[in-house]
Amino acid sequence: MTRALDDVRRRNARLPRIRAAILIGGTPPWVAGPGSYLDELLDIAGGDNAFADLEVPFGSISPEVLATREIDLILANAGTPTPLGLSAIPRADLPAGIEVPGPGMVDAARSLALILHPEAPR
Amino acid sequence: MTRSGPAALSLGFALVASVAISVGMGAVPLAPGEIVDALRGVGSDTARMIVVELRLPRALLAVLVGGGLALAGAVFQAMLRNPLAEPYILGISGGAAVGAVSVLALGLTTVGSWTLPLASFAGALGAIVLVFGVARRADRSMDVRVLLLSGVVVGAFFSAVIALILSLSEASVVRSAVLWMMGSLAAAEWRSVLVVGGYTLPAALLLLGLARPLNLLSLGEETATVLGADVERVKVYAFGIASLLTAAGVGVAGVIGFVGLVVPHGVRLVTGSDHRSLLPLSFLAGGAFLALADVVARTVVAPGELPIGVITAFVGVPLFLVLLRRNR
Repeated sequence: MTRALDDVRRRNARLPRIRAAILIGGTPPWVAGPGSYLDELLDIAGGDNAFADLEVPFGSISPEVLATREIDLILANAGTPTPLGLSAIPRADLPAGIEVPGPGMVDAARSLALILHPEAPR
Repeated sequence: MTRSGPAALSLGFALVASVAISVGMGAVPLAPGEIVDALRGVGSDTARMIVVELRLPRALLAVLVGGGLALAGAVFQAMLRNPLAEPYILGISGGAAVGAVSVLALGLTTVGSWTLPLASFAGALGAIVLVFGVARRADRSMDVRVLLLSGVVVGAFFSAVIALILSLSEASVVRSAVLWMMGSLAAAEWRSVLVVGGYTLPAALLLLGLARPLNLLSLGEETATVLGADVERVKVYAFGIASLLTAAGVGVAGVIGFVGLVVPHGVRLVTGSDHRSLLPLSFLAGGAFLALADVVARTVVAPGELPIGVITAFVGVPLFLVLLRRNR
């Protein structure tokens, strides 16, 4: 599994990094921060976490901070409404079950890489 | 001059000040000049977005929801003649939570951001109909003790329904449901302000019109009847309107505790129990209190936010104890 994850990382390492915010639901929105499983998965898939400066792995975020943060892509659980002020930013649903670490991790990293870099040859 | 005159002036000023503070403070620091420019429709897009689209509607929604909850709390305390009564005592929060949790569990939030507030409002209305229906069936005169028991039983049933839905749901649904139940004004937008305002202000005016009968009812139902109050009609109107007011608040902001319990008591300790002053002052105090509590909730752990119910309890309890001590 480690080898397969390294392979996903290597394939996406040369592609432009996408600055993404991972919204996991709630009001105010909760985002994935540094040290979380989703943050690690995003890094492997070729993305940078827009909330890498958060002090906790998961936490609520002020709507005004969210609206003023530089974000290329919103990754959100299906059904999570796009917060006010972010409607101009592209959005993609997180693949179902991605939050649960386990044997599906490699497929999750590949799915995420495909969302981040749909144009890249596979 | 009675104590209600100066109290009304002070609370009116507090309400305006709380809105100004709410617009002026937030997780993103803005200079006073930037805020004024944004309110005038000039300045940077970012400042206008923050001030006009996020902070101002949120401050106004806090005033409407806080005022509505405090007013409803004052009415429930008068009608039930119970100092522990608060707007959620008749199971309204449970009904709203069932509506919200159902929408989350069924994934209906994908249909639109309006589904969650609409479902929670519908759930609250369902709770009102159920509680009043059960109470009416048991006792045609709507004895307040029967109504209270009906509210407790229906509330317990809703708690079981919520537990059942959550125990069959995915982790993400459980998380969203728990966060919703903590209460927040973070989803405020102009549309919700207009809807809640168009609903809360007429309801508040109708309740203010019941001040005199509520004064009579505080002497007991029999005495009130002798003194000319149409007790049954007053009960139906007062419970119905106060419940609808609570439903509107819970629909847009989730369950925010403590405002409806502590604010009317605080006002009563300062100005007395005359509902002609207690009701409007509770609205002003509740609005100012919730707007300020929201400022604390969204700045104290910035860039994150705390559930507003934490702040209403942390601020409300000591404030209430100080008032109690001063007026003993």
